[in-house]
Amino acid sequence: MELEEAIVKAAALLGAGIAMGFGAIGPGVGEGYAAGKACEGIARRPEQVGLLTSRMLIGQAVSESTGIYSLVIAIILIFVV
Amino acid sequence: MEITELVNVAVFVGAGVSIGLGALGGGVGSGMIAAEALAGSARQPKERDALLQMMLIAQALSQTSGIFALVIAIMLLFAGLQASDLAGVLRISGAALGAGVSMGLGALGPAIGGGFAGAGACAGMARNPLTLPRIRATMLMGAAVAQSTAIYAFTVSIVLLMLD
Repeated sequence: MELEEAIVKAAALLGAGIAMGFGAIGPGVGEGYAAGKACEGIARRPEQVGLLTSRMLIGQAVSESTGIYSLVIAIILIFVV
Repeated sequence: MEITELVNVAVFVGAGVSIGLGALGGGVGSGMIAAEALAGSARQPKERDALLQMMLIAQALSQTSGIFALVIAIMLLFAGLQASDLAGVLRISGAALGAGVSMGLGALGPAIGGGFAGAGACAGMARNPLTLPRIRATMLMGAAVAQSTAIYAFTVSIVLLMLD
């Protein structure tokens, strides 16, 4: 019985790592791309810096959401399974 | 050979995965930033020094997730993870592999994103040198937000390592 439990627990821990690992790739790339384009936009229209910065943060927050999903699933796999 | 030595299989593979994948992103991101800084220097020779400074700052930010991956790899190698029976070996193997995969993959995205951010900042600076302070502030803010998922992955890796 203990051996089966250990195998299931090991799979849950590995799954938590896979979940958070892959889940961190997308938001990182996307948020960085948004920041880069925001910098180029500021160079083109310096007077719009406030608008560009706030819209960049809103877009990055949306991009972050799937990263949060991954974190939640990883935590569930570690502590609940 | 004792059965507890089997834990080292997962520990070594996890450490390799962590730093192997984690080093990818930092290299690509830093290269992208350097490329834009060079193109900008060619376009605006007077801004050479400012572009170099911006490039180094942006590259340092892009490399930070690689440092997290290196820390996890070193922690895996020197934590002295041990198990007393087969069940413990399986559990700790799963945790070690999970920690390595989490931080290795998790370091990829933010580093490449930091590369995009730094490249955009260097291109913008070359185009309009007067806006340098604003561009630098926006790049730092944006790149810091992009690093947040690397922090999540680092936290998950640490939790997995500290479980036993």
